[in-house]
Amino acid sequence: MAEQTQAVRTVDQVSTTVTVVAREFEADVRVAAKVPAADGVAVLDLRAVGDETLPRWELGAHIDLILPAAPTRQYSLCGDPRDRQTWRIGVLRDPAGRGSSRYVHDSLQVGDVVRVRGPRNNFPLTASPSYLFLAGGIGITPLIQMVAEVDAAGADWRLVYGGRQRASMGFLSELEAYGPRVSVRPQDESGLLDLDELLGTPRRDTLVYCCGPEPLLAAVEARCAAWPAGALHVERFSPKPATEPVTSDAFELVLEQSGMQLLVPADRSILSVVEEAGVDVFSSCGEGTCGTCEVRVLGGRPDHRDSVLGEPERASNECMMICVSRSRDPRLVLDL
Amino acid sequence: MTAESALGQFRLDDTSIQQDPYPFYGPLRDQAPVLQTDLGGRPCWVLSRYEDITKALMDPATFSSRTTPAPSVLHADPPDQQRLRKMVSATFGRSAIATMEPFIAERCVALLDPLVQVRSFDVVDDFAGPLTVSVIARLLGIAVDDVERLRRLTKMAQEYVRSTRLGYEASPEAQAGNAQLFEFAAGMVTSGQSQAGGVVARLAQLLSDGELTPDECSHYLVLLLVAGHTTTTNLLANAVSTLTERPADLARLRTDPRFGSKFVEEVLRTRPSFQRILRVTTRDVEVSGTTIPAGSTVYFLLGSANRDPAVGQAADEFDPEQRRGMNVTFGHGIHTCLGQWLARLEAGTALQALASRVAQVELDSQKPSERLAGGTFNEYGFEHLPVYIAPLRG
Repeated sequence: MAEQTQAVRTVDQVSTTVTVVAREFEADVRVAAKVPAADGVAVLDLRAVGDETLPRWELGAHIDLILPAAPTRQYSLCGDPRDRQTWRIGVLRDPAGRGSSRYVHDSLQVGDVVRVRGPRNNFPLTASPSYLFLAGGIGITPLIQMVAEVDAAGADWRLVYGGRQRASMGFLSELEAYGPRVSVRPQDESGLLDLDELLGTPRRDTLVYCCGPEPLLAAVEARCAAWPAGALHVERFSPKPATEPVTSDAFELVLEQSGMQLLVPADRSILSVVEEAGVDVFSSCGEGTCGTCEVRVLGGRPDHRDSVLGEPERASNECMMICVSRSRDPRLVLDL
Repeated sequence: MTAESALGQFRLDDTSIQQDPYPFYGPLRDQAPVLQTDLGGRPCWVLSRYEDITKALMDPATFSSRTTPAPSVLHADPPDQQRLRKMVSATFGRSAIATMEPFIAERCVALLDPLVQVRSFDVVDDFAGPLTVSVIARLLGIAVDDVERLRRLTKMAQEYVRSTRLGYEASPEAQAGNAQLFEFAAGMVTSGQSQAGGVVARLAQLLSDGELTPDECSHYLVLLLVAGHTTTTNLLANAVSTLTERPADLARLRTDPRFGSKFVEEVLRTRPSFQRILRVTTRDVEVSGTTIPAGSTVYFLLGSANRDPAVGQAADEFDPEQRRGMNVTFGHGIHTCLGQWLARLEAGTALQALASRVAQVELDSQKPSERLAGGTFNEYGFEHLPVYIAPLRG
């Protein structure tokens, strides 16, 4: 038996030590256009300073807008993903905020250079025969192109767009052109959105996409409790913590099922430490590309270095590839 | 059969050996682990040991996948391989695929309930085939109106591929079937009617962005379509065939929630859908003391590697509880099967649905089962698996 297990060990040590480290795109961009879309809503077109092609993104993605004299904020990309030269965002002026949107509205001019980072996506559009889009105020921005896409694909869809008043709701003419599928419900005309009517009956074939202020999201989440798991997708505009540098420090690894605490040294992979401890795990390529070693994360934030996971999985911190990925926190808990 | 006579008789293209290769694997591993032979007159090499096979598959620089010029991720080497694979790998990841469970479960119920009423059915044509086609279609984001036609075209395309590898002219039906399958794939893209967010939509976008050539796109879709239903059909049929021999395991599937995945893994190990895969060497390479020259086609007997004592005790026995090392049913290294988690999920879900409806499953004594005939990868499964079931009462 010792000989047999040794044969398997030998194979493991042959695996490559290439690690795939993911870094986010970050670049200077020029404000190519700044156009008011409604009262207090400015639409910015951003282009790379050298007019280079920008990274690809998918519907639902957002970027960090890094400003010279105001905190970094996230904005949904609301342009056409096929336009690889321009990133378009919609910014609502918030007089009570920390200054970023005031800066965009009051100070930023066409031709100015700002910095962007990303794109990231926690709000991807997934396949469905039917969609219900719910937008609150500036939350319309990630949904505009989604509507265009599902309409073109022939899916069944509806958009209900709420806001304080018509004058402050952007993109109305282009959305109303879709006809009766779009309901524009300014609060001063129609009151608050009737979520009981919209969400009271769960539907198995419908995905619900919602973006807007926190009270709307909370109310929608509550009404969707009875809907099938995974039906509701929300995008929140809360600030993201500053991106930490990628490190390779040693960290503590807790294996919940096996009841073990292990140390993962800086120069060894989680996979090798776990296998050495005698825990059965699947693994294959050893370089983070094949997906065989994916495990569930129960605690701590992984430092993703693989080439398998998409943005939403990475951001969820719920799974990771243990052959290459490490930990951002001193303690990581795995379902092993 | 003695070990010596086994070695003497072993042929890669003998249909009856392909349908039951296992008696040959032990003698090959023990006496000719690096075997020089030929296939259709073309010289080639055969590896049968776990260690040699896994080591080779971890070395794509030496063991290249470019065994045909087809612009497919299956036949790509780094860096193309990674570029292509990354286009869809997130969709096939373990936790991403887990979200398909409700759909798969629903499809199993829709297919099984009427079959359980009738009591006798063909696991391949009536259950596994339609199930696996609908699952891959859902993932791709397309409608498949004619499941039978798609399965027929697939068989023709597989025969076509086989003929090109062996260097003979394919039959007119195989050529036509292959062409029609590619037309079907191209049509998925040009129709523009696939589901937003599905794999076809994603590849179509990449195609229009110029990240993918039209040829790469069609080959990708054909690969996903074909691999997405043929291999999993074999897995399901092999699993049910195993259950006909092991009625206690059927009961255990019903009562022990942790048993399902172990059972499926053991079916995968002992009855892989592909008994072999192949590579071509880019340089002279020594394997277990024998030098294989550059430019050689090398076959890796996955079915044999899985029975190698290196994988665990009593490796030739079916025992879901036995601790085992990693099997190589899904390959090894960078090309490890993209669909592995989908396959595991489909099989686990289907068996659960079957076990919760059926008290007993037996081979139908009135209708013989028919094994697959092999092909390039020595597909291991059933053309037809007629069974008779006793429904679960209460």
